[in-house]
Amino acid sequence: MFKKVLLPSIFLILAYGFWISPDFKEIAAGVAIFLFGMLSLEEGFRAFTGGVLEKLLRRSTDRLWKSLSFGVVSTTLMQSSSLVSVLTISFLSAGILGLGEGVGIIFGANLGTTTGAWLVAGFGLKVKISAYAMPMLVFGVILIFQRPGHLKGIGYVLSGLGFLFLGIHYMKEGFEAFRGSFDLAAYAVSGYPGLFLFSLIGILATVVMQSSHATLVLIITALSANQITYENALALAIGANVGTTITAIIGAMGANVAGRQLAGAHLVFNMITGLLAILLITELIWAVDYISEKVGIRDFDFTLKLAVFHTLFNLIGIMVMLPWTNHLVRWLQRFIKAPAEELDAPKHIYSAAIEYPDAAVEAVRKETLHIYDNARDIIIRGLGMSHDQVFADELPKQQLEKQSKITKVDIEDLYDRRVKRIFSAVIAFISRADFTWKEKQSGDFHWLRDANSRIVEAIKATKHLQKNMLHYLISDNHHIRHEYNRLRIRVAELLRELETLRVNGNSDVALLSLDELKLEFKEFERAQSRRLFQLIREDAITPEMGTSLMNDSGYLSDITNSLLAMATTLFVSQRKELTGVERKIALDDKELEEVLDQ
Amino acid sequence: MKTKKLVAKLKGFFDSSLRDNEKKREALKEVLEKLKHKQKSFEQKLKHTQNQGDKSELEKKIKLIRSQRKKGLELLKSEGY
Repeated sequence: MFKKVLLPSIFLILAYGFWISPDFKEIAAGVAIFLFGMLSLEEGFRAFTGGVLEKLLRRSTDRLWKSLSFGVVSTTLMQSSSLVSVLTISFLSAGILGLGEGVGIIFGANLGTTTGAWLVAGFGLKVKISAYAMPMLVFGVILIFQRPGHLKGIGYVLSGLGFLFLGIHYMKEGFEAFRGSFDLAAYAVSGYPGLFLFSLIGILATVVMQSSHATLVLIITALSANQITYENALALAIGANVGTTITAIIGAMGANVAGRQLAGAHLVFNMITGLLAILLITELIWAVDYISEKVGIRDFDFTLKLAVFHTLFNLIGIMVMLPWTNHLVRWLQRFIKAPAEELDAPKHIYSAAIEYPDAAVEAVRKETLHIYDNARDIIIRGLGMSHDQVFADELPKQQLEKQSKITKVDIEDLYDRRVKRIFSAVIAFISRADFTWKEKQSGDFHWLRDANSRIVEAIKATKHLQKNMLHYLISDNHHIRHEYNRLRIRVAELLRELETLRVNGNSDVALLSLDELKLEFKEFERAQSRRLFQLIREDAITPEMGTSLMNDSGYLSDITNSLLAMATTLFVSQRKELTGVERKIALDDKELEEVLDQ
Repeated sequence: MKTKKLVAKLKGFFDSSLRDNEKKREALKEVLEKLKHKQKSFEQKLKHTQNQGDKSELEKKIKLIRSQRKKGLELLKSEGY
């Protein structure tokens, strides 16, 4: 309810503001352009994340001081601590970084972000920066239109910087005009109540704009136009520093546990730094004056003083928190844990079972079934279906056909959480057992290991299939929609058949009856191929759609073959000799084609 | 010739791999028998089916079993069995 009302309310308030004050409109437009610049900058850096950044990250974060410096340098270069923290979260989730290194980078990013204040205070307000913005935008946009990825990336970075400068320019103009009509300074509150109030405003402004950088620029421009007092500006800067963690928190919502732990570290660091700054405000002001005097900043140059303040209190934060890094990491790991159901663990294999060959085989078989159950769920959800739909008394084909909204699930993530760990445990167990004794059970293990690999292959193929499927299942072109729906219905039918086999696995020649399923699939493939060429010939689908469909049929074939191979081991239970013989008689691809051609 | 057979049998008695082979051979015969039954039951069904779709479905299954049986018989004749 609150979410639904929030956005229209913000729009209404802004619209009213624009109506009564053109200056407010200019400031708001400045903020909007600034934020757009940040988005563009982010896009630009994303182009380089694949190789260079990753290599750099690995090499430059192996020690705490290195990761700290890395945080400072990268944030200075990118001019966005949010971008650095979100990137760090993604690297952490990918397992490239450990939490300790991540925390180091976050600490550094907090210091790096203060360089923004220096840039704006020392450079931005003195020269007409819009003069730099225009050529940057022109060159940037031309580069964006280039084909090579790195040129595109540079284009986004350049135009991002251009927009940042343009945004600052508009904010500056707006505040200067604002000064004439309205005096914010009259609302200044002094003492601790003012400090807390303006810190809160700083937090709110940063939460709304999702950028402490934008808030800080706003503060500096307002300060330079004498719209707020120096003390209030300090409090706003403290607030902005706390508020900026919101981006990391939002970013971590979709991340795994490590990402959430890092966002927690970010929040803890910025909260403590903020509190320290508020408590030590008088001392800090004195220190800022002292440093300013030493480096030659004039007494009334409050914008540069604010930059000094911002750097100083973040530096104090780092000095206070750095010795506690390891404690913080341990505390976060204890405090923010993966929910029990999130990470699935092995249920049936345990080291004692290894002593008894038959028990060991049975344990691995049960564990493989466990993996299959999880994999089946991933495949179903990955293709936008539900367990109830697939295993209903009758497959709801019409309902699936009409589905207009598909929720994308992250198959890679589900695999990591629900399959990988168990799969690794099974493989480790089999390897140890194989080593311990070489009896007839080794043969069983061979097939069970194969079944496990097949299940994983089926998940990987589903991941590839998902990419185009989710796109085309809601396409306006009903032909392609229909074809992709057929693919997933085929998967659903296969899963249903496998479930039947699981129940009747001890019936006569159960393994050979799998050939019927293979034959059905071959027929399906042939019919689809015929339809595909006809659809392209009749211009009902584009050749691009056609080739996507061809590739994706290949993935469907991989899923089918993998699951059927898995089923021969897992679902067929009969005398070992019979299974061996049936495996030999089962028809191969060529033989199945011959049956179809008869 | 007779002595040769006798030697082979004796060999089989002492050689575990040959004993295993015998087991496999028996299993293959059992599977072929089951397939034959399955094929017959499908053929019976086919006789009583009027629906064209069901008919072609059954015919396909019968063709499949025939191919499997053929492959099985060839295996039975081959040396390892």
